[in-house]
Amino acid sequence: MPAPSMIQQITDIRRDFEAECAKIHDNRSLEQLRIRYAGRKGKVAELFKSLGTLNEDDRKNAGRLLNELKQQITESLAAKEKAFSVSVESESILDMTLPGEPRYAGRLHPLNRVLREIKSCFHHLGFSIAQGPEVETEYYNFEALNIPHGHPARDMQDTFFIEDDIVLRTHTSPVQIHVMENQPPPVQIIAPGRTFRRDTPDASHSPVFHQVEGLCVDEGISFSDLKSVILSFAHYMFGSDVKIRFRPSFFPFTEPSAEYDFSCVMCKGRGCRVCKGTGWVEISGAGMVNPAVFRYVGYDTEKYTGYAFGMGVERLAMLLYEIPDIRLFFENDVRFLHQFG
Amino acid sequence: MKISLNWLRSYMDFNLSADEIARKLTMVGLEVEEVHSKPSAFDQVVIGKVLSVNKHPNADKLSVCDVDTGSETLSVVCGAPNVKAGLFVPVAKIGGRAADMDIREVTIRGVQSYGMICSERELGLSDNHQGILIIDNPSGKPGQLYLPEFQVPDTVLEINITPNRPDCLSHLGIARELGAILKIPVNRPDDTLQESGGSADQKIAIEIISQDGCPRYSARYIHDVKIGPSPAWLRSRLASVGIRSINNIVDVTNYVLMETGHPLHAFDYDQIAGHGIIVRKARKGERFTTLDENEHVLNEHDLLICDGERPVALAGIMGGLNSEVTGETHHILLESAYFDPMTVRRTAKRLGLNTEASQRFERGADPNGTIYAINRASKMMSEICGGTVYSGIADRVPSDIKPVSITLRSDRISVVLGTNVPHEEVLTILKHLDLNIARPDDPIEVIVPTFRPDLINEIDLIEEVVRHYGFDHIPVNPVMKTAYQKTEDIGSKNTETIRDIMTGMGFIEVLNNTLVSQKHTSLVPDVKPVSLQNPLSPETQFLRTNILANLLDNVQYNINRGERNLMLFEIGNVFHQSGDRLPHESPVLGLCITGHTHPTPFWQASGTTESNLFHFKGFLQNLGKRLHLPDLSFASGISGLLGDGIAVFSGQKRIGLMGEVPQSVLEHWDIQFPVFACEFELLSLLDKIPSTIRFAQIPRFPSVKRDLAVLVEKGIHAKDMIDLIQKTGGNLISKIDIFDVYEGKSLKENQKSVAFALTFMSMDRTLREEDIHPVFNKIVQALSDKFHAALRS
Ligand SMILES: [Zn+2]
Repeated sequence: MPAPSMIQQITDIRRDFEAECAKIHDNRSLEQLRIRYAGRKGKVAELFKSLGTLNEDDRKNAGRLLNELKQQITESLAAKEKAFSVSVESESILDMTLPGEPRYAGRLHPLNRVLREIKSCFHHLGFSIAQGPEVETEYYNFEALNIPHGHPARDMQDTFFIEDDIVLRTHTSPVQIHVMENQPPPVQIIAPGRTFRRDTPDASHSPVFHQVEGLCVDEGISFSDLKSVILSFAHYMFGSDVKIRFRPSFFPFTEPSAEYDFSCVMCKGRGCRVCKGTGWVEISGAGMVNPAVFRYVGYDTEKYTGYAFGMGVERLAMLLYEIPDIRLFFENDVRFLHQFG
Repeated sequence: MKISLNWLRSYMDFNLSADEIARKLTMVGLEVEEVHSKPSAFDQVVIGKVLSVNKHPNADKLSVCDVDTGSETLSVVCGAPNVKAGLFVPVAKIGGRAADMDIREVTIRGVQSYGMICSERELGLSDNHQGILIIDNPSGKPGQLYLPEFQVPDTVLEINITPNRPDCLSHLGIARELGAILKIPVNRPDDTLQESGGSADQKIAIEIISQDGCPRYSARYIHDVKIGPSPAWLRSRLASVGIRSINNIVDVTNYVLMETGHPLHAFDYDQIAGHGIIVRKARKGERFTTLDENEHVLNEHDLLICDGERPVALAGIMGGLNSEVTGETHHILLESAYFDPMTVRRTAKRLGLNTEASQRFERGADPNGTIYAINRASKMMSEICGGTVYSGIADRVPSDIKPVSITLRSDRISVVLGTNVPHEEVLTILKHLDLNIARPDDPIEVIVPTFRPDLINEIDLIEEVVRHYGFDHIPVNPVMKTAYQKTEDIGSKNTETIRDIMTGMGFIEVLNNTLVSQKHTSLVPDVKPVSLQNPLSPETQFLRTNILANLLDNVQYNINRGERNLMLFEIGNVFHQSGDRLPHESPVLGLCITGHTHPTPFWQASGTTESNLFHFKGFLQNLGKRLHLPDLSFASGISGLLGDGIAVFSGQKRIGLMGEVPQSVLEHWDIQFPVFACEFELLSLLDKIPSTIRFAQIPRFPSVKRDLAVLVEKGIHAKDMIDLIQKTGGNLISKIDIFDVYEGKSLKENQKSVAFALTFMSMDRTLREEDIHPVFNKIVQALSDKFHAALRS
């Protein structure tokens, strides 16, 4: 019976064509393919010629199948040709070095990018986020943090005043007081936010900047816990070979107070320009919450202890991205912003 | 505070490098900021030999000198009368420093000068400015660095002393800390002195009227001193810590100040009327001239030292011009007092006087340190200035000054630090800090001497222990205490989602200064901006009332730098006066676009589209959809931030304002291109975000599309027609899009054509023509009835 073999031939041609067509990548081979299959002497035309040898029923059936095949081949060839002509006019070579369709790409500000990292780190360590106003009373910004009126420690922070007793907060530490006034221990929060100091702008000072303050209060919290949380943070931000160092310092709201340093990421502690040859970069201040602060918020100073720490978001971003000038963050030059986020 | 290592070595024996000392001091909280291996005032100052002196062609009093400085001969213009050929002189070369100036090549009356021949004053050695310094016995050849005869190589540490440590504002204070670090003794200089002549009490009468301001006043009388220059070693010591020599008496008071930290003041005894000292508050409006020749107007809070007739010193801050020690002085009244920190601080701050004395009294001097300091200084005055120290101290202590007693429990140390510090170690540290141990057993009883006003509570002693024990010895707790109940802050979480959506749509996040100018605040006309009392400049006088003005700054800045396609946003607080004590403060989301809607791909030669209001609105709607805000709608004609702006509603709640920035505003920013902007009240926006999302059934049956074009009057709003179509079509209408709006020649002047694409769908069956036809007709009829809409063929 010739008919099954005819149908078999049609099936074979379709399979062969599809396989060959898939491998074609230029117009020249496409033309050759067309000649071999759809040309006047091509494989399809050959089969049409042999239709006459079949009986009427078989011819009708095979003819339909053959017409479908012809149409399919024509369509495939046309589609392929169209695909090539989009990217190439005369040369039949696809130049994939041409650019794709350009799009406006959004960016997160580098400070918020870093802040997200910080938040994410402390979220994993069990801290919640607390917030407070940027305009504060003197009580929250200074007094309740054990910086009484007329204390020389007020000179450590040049302050913008709105009224004699209303200030732009000089740190996010007032949030500590708000939180402790509103809840009993345990407390474990970070307070990110914008802060202000009356510093003339230069490469390392900006009157507006961002801080994250951390606070943890409960029974049995010690400096040893502070060290472990700062170490985790150092590893999260800068990698697990970073070391930490605490140096005694003074802040009225913590005691003992310390400055904490990270080993220099640039030189791995050997000494370079960034760390001024010391192998350490200063990050910020920390310490055990001064019992005087607990007295302001009515916490039992014998029962509870706690630690607090701060950090400057700009400072961390400058270290992470090697940004030399703090003013770049607030100029909002898109050529700068495009480099991050 | 400058600390000379040579000076420290006169009290104790140590054999460590300067860097090692610096590191050790830093690690007990005395942060060494710089280590100078020689006084910086002498950078680039070399020995020069004057070869020739010629008259300046254009100035009688100036001369032009050729000076041999070894490698080169410099031409230097000099004004000193005593310059002569053949002299050796100190020359500050170009690039060096002298007389508080950077030395540069200058033209003086038309003649180039390549350096400066220095006087003693210009080198900071003394106040002598009678002429240039003449080096009698040069220590080296021309060109070598100039070292004054009395200068010996030294290292000076610049230490940042925290405000709680007034006791460390002195060499003996630093020596005490270093002694505690190295566990070696400190030898305090002997203060026993020869007294003779009469008694101090006969020469000086003291009356303290303001006892709060002056808890102690001690004074001595030194007879017949010879005023003159100080010996070389004393001038050297003072120069090493940046103090210039004045005369031997003043130099001694400064020396003892730097040694003990206790400020002293020497009066010319003969200028003290009635030979009596009265300590009292000033009268309001009283005037007084300090020895820097500035006159101050005082008030009733200021503390004065007076003689029988008039004020002679501003207590604890600065002496008066009327009683200072001069070349004519014969006898000295030496003051060593303790003044109330708050009183000194208030006056010093108000008058803008920050002196070595005021710094120490503000932080807290030692009320019992007056005696050692006055004896040290008197002894030196008798030795150096040849004076006779009269016997006894005129000493008034109106109220007893008692040391504080503190109990220190060893288990409390463990609780706070998380580690045990051996008891013996605790005792050793406390002893080396000169704290008196009244009971060595636990709990330790410590009597704190009055030179440590910062030690009041147990926690203060724990800090002392750990300072010297070292934070390094506290282990990192391997089991971090955590896992308290975390409170989820939905607001800040959703705010981060907004940031992600905005950046996803192609917006760049900016952060701008909160402090702005009036140009910025005036964009919001109906609110009173919050003003600063002490702004850095008029450009940063106010707290921002809006973010749009900041965004316009950013648009202007970036367009000026060649980037004209901008999509920016910022989330931040804005402020205005509230009538209450604290201003109103709330966060907003501001966004703006300008430029092309899309960047042009290479296969499109041209045809990029400028942004317009509806392109911008698309972003807002997209944001609304992503946040699942119900029913975002827009109503025009609202006046406010953007002239005739457009209010954005979610449901009935107005959550923002958008529009095209008016030309009149853009002119203030010199922006030539259209800018579209929006400000959302962030809290209103966050409030509208649903807290939960619920699944809705996905339709299983095919939908059918029908187009509908109608002619209506121009005043008819698309939203009203859509609402009517939805209402009429009911459940069967699943979607209504507008695909064309046309106004033009083929239509009547007040007409527009609006074309809708309606999608019909049912959740329970496949719709047939018979289902759709009647509904479609009803819609056409309803539009016709309500809006006189005519079907467009
Ligand atoms: Zn380094």
